Amino acid sequence: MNWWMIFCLGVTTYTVVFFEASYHGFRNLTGAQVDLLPGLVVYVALAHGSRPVAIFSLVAGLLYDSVSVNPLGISVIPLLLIGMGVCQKRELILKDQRYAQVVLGMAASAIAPLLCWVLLLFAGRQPLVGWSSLWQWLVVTLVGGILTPVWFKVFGRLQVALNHPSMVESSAFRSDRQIQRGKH
Amino acid sequence: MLKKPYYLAFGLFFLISLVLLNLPGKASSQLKLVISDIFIPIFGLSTATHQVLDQASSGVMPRRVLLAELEKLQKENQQLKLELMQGADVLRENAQLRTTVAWKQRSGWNVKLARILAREPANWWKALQINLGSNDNITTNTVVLTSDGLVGRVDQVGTTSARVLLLGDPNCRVSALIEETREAGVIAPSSQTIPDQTLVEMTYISRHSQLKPGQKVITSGLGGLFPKGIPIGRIMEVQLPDHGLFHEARVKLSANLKDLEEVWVLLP
Repeated sequence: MNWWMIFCLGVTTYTVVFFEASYHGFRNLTGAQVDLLPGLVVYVALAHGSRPVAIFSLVAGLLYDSVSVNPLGISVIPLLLIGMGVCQKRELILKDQRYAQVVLGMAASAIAPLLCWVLLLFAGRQPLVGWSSLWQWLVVTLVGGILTPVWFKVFGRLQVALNHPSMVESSAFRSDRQIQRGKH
Repeated sequence: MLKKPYYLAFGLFFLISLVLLNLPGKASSQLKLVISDIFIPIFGLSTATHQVLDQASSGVMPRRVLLAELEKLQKENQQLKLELMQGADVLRENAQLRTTVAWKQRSGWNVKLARILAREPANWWKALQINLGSNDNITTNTVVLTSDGLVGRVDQVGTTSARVLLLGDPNCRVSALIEETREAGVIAPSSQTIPDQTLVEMTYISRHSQLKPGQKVITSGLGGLFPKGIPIGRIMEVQLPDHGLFHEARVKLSANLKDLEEVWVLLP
């Protein structure tokens, strides 16, 4: 993971939190605000490993909580747990398959609000939860799952654009590896 | 190879988040304000873009629409002038009566217009951020309203922005009064199934009260936080529990909390 990718990921996280705090057309339409961070943590976990996941969870969670009524730091733990969970099994996951990306994105988007809700209860807060929350949870899960492959696509292209292209050998023959027989 | 950095990263960052969660209330809110300040440039940019777009759209508005709007505003202005004349007379009379019975004169409201910067991203709170802060004399628990009715109260104040808890948030309960019957109650979050931001519940209303849909609900002034008489909404539906001690009513809020762009802040 090079510095450009870290920068792009940081800017994306910032923009996502800003978007969630300022754009409410989708909430007015469906009654639920989508959360794009769980899908993003799935991408980071599959593409970059445990340390980037930990840093991303901390930064994204803190940014999210700073514009929310949530206690500061409460959104870090669900993102961290999801990211680390995915990280542990990343060798077994077919990360290039769109199906796997959608399923993981949906699972992450479903688990993140549940974990956050449990943590809020443990912290002695009384979040507004009723039957309507089931609908909101469903919307968040579905949209989060559908949008997860978008992160893979966007950052895949960025990775290609910002990294040095891999060297393509023109032919199998290389003069420096030629075996020369006979006396010299 | 993978295990050591994995557990190290997980343990360290889990510990950091636990420390953050256990920070004292004041330190936590200060830190929160510092982090949220990162968003000020982009919120400013977004507001400026909206203003430019508004100006651009008003620049290309047809003359016919503008004339119709002007005519409507002139009529409204005349009507308001008449009401003001009537009101001024009542105010004079009220002041005379207060002097007669030696009551303290009521002071007028000192209000300031605020623009909405952001809304709550989580689905379980109802809050928003405004572009006024301690630099504009905003303090915690300052009342926020629109010309239609009550919006909520200020919960956290930064130097240039503040967070407002809206009516219907679990942390924003308001003592209310039914204007016709003078029955008191408390405005609390709605427990209904449709996620509608414009509905709240009025609870702790006396069992013997005569509640009807359409009755106006206003602030009672009890508790000293919200001044008396600010419109909250109208009763939509009355729930009569069989065994409960109190009535409950569903109230449709006067202020449309879904589409707020600007609010008035009642300065002390």
